[in-house]
Amino acid sequence: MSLDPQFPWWILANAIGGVLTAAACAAFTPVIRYIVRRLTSRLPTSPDTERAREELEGMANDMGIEERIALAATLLLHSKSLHDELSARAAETPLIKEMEATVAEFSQGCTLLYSTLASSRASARYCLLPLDTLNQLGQLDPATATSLKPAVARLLDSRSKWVSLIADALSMTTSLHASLVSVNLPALVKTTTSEYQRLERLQSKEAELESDLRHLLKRMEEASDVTSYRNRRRPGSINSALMILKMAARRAGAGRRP
Amino acid sequence: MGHQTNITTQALRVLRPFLENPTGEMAGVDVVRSSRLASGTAYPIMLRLERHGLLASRWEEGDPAQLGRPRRRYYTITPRGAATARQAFAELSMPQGVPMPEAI
Repeated sequence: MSLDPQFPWWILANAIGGVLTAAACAAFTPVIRYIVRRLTSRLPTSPDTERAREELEGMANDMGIEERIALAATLLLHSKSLHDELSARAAETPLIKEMEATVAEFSQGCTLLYSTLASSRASARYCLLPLDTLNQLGQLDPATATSLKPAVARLLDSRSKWVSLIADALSMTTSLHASLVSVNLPALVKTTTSEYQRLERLQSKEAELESDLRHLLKRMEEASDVTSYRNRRRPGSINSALMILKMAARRAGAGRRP
Repeated sequence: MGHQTNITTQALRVLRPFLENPTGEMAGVDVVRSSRLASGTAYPIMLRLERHGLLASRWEEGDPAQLGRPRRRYYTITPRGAATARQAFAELSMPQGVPMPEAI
């Protein structure tokens, strides 16, 4: 076998030497870190790029020599997929911020509704007390008392269920907050929309329950002798209505004292 | 959540080791090794799977200065990721116990 003296062996030798040198350099951690930093400096600036830089440096630190050379080669020759992925993340960031604001708003709405429902539940529970008192004092028509008490109890039970439901919704918003970045954005939009619809249904039901409670209180007022206090009540205020009942109960209790 | 995610064969290589221990965590470098893909190829796939909610990740706790090395990033598969991967394997009729073919 004879070698062709015309062949440019020096080019081949230089190429082989270059590859070997690059491989040897890449085998050292500082070199691979330099490559990673150079690569990420050309990528869109974002927290994700910083994360990728730190993570790739960490991975290089844990890799063996061969793996490091392979990583360096891939990063130098095929960085497009990493570039595309980080660009996609950068493009999604404003959307994620918007979703965070939406979820925060939703969470605030849930908290407010929870507070209202819990208060209403307490009001409903408190209805039972004057009802019993008025009943015991004979100031309530027995037939009315018989029909009112289970109705208030049902209302109270219903309130408790809704409070539980809204607590679930609150829990959902907390988990949405926690997983906002990692959750698939379209899925997040879908979930949040669904939660909004659920909230709207709850609000609608809440209005219905509120109306029921007012109706019950009105019936209790009509059935007892507290009508003279009715004018003091602010229209639509459950708390004021309860105050009237409490006053009636207190008055009736005071009358019984020796 | 019902959202459809297209899964490539390479993405399945990344997800497959997680199915063996769906609740376990794997460091990034271990995910790369298990996938038998080139590290520069596997890493963007891991990022994409995380963006689509199929993987979740967290930083290792501790200060790099105290650790004496960069922090590791630990990955877990999400319930949605596990369901998606299992469905994809079922559709491909590739039992989880069967070794994956060599990297393309």
